Amino acid sequence: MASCTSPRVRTMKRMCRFFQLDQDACEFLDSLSRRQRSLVVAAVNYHSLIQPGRTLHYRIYMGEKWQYPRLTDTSTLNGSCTENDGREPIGEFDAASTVNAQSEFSPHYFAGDEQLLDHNIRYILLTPDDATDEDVWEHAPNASRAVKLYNELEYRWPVAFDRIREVQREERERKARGEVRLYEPFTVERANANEKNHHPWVEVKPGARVADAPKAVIVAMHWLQAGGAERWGMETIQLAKEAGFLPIVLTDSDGHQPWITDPICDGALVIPLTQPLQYRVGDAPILRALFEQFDIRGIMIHHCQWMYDNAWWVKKYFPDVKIVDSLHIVEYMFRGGFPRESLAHDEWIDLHHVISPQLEHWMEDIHHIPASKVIDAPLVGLTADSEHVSYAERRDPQVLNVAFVGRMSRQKRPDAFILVAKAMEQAAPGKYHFIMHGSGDMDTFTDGLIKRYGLEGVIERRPMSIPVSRTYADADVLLVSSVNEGITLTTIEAISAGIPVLSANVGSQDTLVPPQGLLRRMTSSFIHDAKRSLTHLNDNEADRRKLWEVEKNRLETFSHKQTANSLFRQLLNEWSK
Amino acid sequence: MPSANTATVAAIVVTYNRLEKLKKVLASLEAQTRLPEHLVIVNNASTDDTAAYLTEYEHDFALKDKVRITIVTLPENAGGAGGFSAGMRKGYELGADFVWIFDDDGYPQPTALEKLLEGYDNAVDGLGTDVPYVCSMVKFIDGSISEMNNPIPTWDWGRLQAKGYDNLVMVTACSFVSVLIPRWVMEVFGLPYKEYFIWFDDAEYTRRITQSCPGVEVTDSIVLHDMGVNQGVNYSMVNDKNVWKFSYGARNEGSYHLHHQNVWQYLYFCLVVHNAMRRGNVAMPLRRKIYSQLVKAISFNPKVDFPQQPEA
Repeated sequence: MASCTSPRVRTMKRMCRFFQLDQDACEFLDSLSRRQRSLVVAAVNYHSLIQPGRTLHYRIYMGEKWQYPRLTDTSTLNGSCTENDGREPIGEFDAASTVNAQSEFSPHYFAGDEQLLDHNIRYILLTPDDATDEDVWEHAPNASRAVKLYNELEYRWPVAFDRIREVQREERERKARGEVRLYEPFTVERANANEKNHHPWVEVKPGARVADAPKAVIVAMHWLQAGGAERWGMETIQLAKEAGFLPIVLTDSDGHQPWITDPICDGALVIPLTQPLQYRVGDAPILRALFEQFDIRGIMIHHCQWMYDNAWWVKKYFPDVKIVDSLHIVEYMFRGGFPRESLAHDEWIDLHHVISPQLEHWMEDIHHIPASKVIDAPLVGLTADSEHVSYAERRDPQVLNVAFVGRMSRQKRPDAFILVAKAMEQAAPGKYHFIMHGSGDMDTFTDGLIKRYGLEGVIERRPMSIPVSRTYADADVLLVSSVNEGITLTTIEAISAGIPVLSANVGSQDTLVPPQGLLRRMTSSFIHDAKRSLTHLNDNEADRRKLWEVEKNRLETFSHKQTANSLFRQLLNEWSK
Repeated sequence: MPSANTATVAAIVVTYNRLEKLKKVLASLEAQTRLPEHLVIVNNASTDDTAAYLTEYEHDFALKDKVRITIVTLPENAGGAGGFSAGMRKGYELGADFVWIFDDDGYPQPTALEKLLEGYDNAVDGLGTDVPYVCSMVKFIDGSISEMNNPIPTWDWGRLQAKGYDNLVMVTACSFVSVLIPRWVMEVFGLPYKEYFIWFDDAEYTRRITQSCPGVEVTDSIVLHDMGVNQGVNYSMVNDKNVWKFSYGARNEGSYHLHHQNVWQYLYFCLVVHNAMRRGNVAMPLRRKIYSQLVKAISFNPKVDFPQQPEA
């Protein structure tokens, strides 16, 4: 197979690659956008790794905005989302796997009893670059009666409805203290003990590592798009590179993966996994392939369920490989979310990195994880310069500017912020100006509520495309209305930008925000407390400054803790020895 | 993935009291243009001179450097089904990528294995990696087609021909006269039911392994079937001499229809058997024997054996 000569694909060669293409394939890849090209390369790398030595034919399709890319799942074998959905390929090519496998990789896979037919073709679905999660949600909204009723109540009577939700939240918090059911790996022994098993499974052991395998770490993430955990995940990719590792970035959740084009991903092997993968009991083909091709020293898990569920496999064959997970907040939805998963998989995790004292307390004191396995290292310094900060004077003595920064999602409770704006406007018309910076799945809801209360002239909405620093520069106080948090990055950013923070008393916000800046959680109480505090800050500039100074001092104390960056730098250095 | 160039093949011959024919089979195997890496001979507790002959054959085996010979002597006659099950298990244990199975009256022509392996690679090119078996064209010793060993073609049997593979026909069921089966098929679908003893074991097994992807007949891989009279069989031909064989057939096929398909298929099969025996004026006592076997099929439902697990 001839090699590529096009400039873009030559650039692509610097990416980690396990296949060979001919000239036509290169030209086709050239015609794609950078994101789409990266997704195709990821898919071809995946299939080349688990089908070593084979030449597979790839058909590439362009999906709708409301779909997600299909790169590695079983639909890439049967074409159910592409060819059998009546689509025409936008290009096709052959790619020969250059993988030098050290153990047997079967071309035969089953989904339950049903054989996944392999016709030597992989059907890859891409999505347009401007596709968003909203496009997907809007295409298939959850229109059940219960959801409609919930949305209606939330929109019509947000304050009263939140009283009910508060009861629900308290119940979830109670449950979060309950015992965690430990994860039971689906081993060959367990599968074979089941009488309904289709056929007895055989354990497939990974082969020896290839000679001169590059030193690598796996960075397992949820997806490659905006989010707190993802920002930290990207930072760890950079730290891994700086420590001399080749980062292997795996994600397990559907998304358009816009950050795959981020320069941080340059030089990394990036594979956004789309589920369900071809897998068999007693074998994790992609991990087996990676462990044969790379000298993997450690794994960093950032909200990646697939990696949690496969951690036992890694520890079984590679007990010396270190596994560290990063956790951000105590979660109450989905029976406890990732912190609960972390506990359920604790047996195979060497270190739990948490970013807030609340999580440390939850893991150590409530769930009795040994203190030596939990380390609190905050994300200070990730988004803000907390060392050289100075107080920001009032922009306009006549108007107090109050900011909300974050996703428009239920967790951030934009409705509570809007209700505060409504209360302030009623109490002192024209004296307060509100900025809502960010977007999310509650955009339509937010706009509707602003319109309904006639607050278009009071609340200014800003999209994520505007730098967040501008909002901090324009604001006099940050109001955090979330129902659940760890320590918000926005709190650190605001204090660093010289403005004080008022926050709902949730998570570990009380680490940085003193009692006079904390507001009760339930919406009605939150509005009451926020109104009182904002009025006080508006009338007493000295107290606004005092609040900021206390918060700044707390941030300084907090910053003296080992930061997440420094902790991971240290870990990576140890792993590289 | 195993392919013709790199694969190891274990030829499996099952024999019972047909020494003269067995000698011809072994001679045909030695004459292959592509020799198998292993030769497994399953002696189904023969009562003639087979055992002595095999000891001598193993001792004087001319191709020792090229082919590893293994004799499996069963403690009692397990029938063709039991013999194939034991032989395929042995082939699996020897680490073979393929087993190539045939009876002691099937004489593979010199290029039979070479063409089968070539045909397997082409079939995989055309259909994907999940091709569960390839089989030879079975001819009678006079060169005409063997009436009772014709594989059943799929509805789209010409698909590979349309792709330019003139010698490949897609099939579902075939008989165990020169069939090449990859290792993964045994792991996933198991071995033939040894409990069938004789008859329908090959039809059930090849149907079982073609649930997702058809098998392929390689028409220029030839095997001659030396079976006395070249004719097909049906239940109008039941007589005193062969009723024992038809009895196994009725029980096994009845069990297959009932337990692997559905009760309607089973009842339809009973009707077909009944009509055939009536048409052939089969004697009443013989008919009753067959009917009792059809009833026996209701409680006869053996479990699949897998080579990766020790024999039950």
